[in-house]
Amino acid sequence: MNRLTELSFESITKSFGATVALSNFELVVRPGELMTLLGPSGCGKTTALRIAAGFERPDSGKVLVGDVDITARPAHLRRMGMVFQSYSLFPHLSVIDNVTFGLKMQRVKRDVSRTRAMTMLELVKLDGLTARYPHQLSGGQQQRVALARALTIEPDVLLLDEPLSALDAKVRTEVRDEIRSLTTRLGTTTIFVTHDQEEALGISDRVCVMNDGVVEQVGVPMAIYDSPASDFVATFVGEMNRLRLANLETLVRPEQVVLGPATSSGTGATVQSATFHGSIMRYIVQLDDGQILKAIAAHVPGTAFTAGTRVDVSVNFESTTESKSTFGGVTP
Amino acid sequence: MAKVTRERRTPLWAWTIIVAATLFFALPILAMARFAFQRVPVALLGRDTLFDRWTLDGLIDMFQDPEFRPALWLSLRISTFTVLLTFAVILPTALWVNTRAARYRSLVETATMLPYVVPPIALVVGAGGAFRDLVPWFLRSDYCLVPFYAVLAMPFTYRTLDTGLRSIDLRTLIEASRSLGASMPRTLFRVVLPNIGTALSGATFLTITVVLGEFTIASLLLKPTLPLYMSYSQGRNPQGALGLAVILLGLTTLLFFAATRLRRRGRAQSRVTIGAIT
Amino acid sequence: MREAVSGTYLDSFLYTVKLSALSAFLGAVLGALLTAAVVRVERPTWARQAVSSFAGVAANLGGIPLAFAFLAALGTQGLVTKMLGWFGIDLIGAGFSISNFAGITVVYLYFQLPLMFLVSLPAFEGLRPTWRETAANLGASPARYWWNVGLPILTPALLGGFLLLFANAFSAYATAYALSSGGAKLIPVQIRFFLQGNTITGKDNLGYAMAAWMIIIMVCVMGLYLILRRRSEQWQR
Repeated sequence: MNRLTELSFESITKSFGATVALSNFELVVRPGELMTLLGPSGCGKTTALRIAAGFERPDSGKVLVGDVDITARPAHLRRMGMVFQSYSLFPHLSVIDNVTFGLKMQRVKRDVSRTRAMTMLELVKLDGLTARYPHQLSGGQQQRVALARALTIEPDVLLLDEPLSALDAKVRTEVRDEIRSLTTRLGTTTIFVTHDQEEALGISDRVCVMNDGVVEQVGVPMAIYDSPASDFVATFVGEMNRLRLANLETLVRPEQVVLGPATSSGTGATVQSATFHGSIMRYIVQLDDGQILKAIAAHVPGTAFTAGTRVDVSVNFESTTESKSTFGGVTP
Repeated sequence: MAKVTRERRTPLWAWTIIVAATLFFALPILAMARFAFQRVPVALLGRDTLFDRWTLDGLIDMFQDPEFRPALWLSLRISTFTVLLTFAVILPTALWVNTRAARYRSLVETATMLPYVVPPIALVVGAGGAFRDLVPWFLRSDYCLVPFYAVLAMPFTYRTLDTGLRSIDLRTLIEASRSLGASMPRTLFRVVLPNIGTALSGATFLTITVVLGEFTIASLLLKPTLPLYMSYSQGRNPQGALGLAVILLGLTTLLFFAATRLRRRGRAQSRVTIGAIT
Repeated sequence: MREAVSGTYLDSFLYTVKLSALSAFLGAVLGALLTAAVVRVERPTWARQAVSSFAGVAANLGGIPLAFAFLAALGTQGLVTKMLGWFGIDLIGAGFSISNFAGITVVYLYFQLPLMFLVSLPAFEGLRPTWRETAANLGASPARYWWNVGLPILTPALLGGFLLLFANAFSAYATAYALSSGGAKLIPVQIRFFLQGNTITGKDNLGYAMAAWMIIIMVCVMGLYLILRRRSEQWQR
């Protein structure tokens, strides 16, 4: 099967009763890329994914795979693999039977399907557990089986619905990296849904930030972070300070806030808290006029400020966000 | 073309089955009610006689029968004690399985199914024989029916209570309460029981249903309970007896249903279906 | 003990077994279908509770009220019999009688079906909708989903239900007794006959022997039931 497929959403609108989940949703996912749909709960990202999978029908609009309109095609006839938040492994089947299920539906011969399944299980490093049952596996293992199961059928598109939410923090990173390396290696077009912006930035080729059923911005992770197209994107992705000076409001990233030893001529502030995070120091400082800012500094041994210390605050505007106009002055 | 979408509307086949089932279950009762309350023999029943001679006379006669009230009173008393016995024995068992003894769950469940298995006759003959030899006074009291009935209702009552306990986060509730300083009895009464209200009332009504409908054991032990009275008065006052049966059926169903609507505390209770396990 | 299962008594045993098996099988199949249907009902929201409530009552119904209700409906003077007559269907002429094998089976269904419903409802409710979606995603049409995923997962519960229904029918007595006025060839009825005490003495042992055989059969059935419960507990996780 041609796996270099492009998936497009054209003017998709979907409401559930009185709630509008998606409003004229448009997106093109390029062949082989990993696109993340990022947004808070209720923004429509899961709805869009389910429409792509065929579990929901849009009220209007089209879904296209390549040039083919699949909007009316039932779910079981679409060639898509899906990984669910709750793993959704069939409890009555062993690992190997779970993974070969899709091939069994395609009536592939047993020996062929077993070989293909084993290959995939080796890729997720679970080839030793083929005879186990889901209730005997850990969360991370179950999710990897689910991943193998979805990929074994060589889908046109891989869909992942918050697959890491149910996992422990440490396992989360491992599985995330595995997903990334697998999809890159296989070249599968992938749509990943999450509300965790760190995840999104770390895993994607491109990110589509959504809010209230509408697309806020689509772009590569760095563009989303450095050049947010709207207030929402700026505050949702990464941390943001709101700085108000002379009736102008600016959005400033914590890493743009620079702290230095207190001088008589600089903008004074007091350190409210200082927490150590290994490679960085996080500070919360209160300006003399009352505003509170978050700051991040690389940890250089011996230069950390402690709570209660007086410091000078300046903002590095070289790499500032373009969303709002800034004020002059206050440079180091 | 089959769709695997999240259907908001119920499919046609489902409604067909439900309607068919409703007919099957409603018709006999309707027939029984018609017989009880209408004094027209079936042979003469036609479109023109459909609304003739509907009367509550049969029921009224029955209520005025001097033997009716004692029988009713006896059955009610026995129900009460059976319910109490159930709560004294079955409830702790369910609590025990759900807190400390999860390994024995399957065993206990199967054990509570035994009343289905052992025919009432064998139960009476066996247990009755034993009682007769050891404690003959026991069988002479009317209340000897209570343990038999508690056992008979066990499959339903255990299931209901167990479902209720499983639908709340029992372990966390108990641990939280204990850590806040409450003793175990207090925890049970103030924390656990209020949260399984639906299950408790469901079990109560189930027990009452069983007691009010049980005939075999009562007849073998010669106790004049309500069901026995109803069967004896079939000869004299069939319409009354059946009218009463219909009323009892309706009443118990309504009571059950009302019990499930008692939603005082959030989602946990509404998930308890009577007699089912989550 | 051997006498209890020979001659005419063997007939009774077979009759009882057949009746129990048939009513259990039909009750299980129809009950499962009913449960599947009820689970799909989204509106009105109180529907499931209402059905459960009635099922709790109906499953306990037996003996005289039930027998009479069916006599009133399907007996020779029955309401439904009469109504079917209006449509030109002669039920009695076709050989149907409420007190023969077919009739008693139908009556037994009245409490077997609700029992099956109550027992299998948790299993059906435990079928997560994501499984259906996952199966579809992997290429299974709804029919193939049921065959490969739904039914296999439900099987322990369904089998357990069947066993329970069998045990229930086997030990039921009051209903058949009332329907056939004591004439049905059922083991429980016979036991009662022997143990009533007054008429035939010396045959007490026969009664006890029959009861013993009943219990042996039951223990086997319940043993199987226990094993099935253990299995399905595992998957509930």
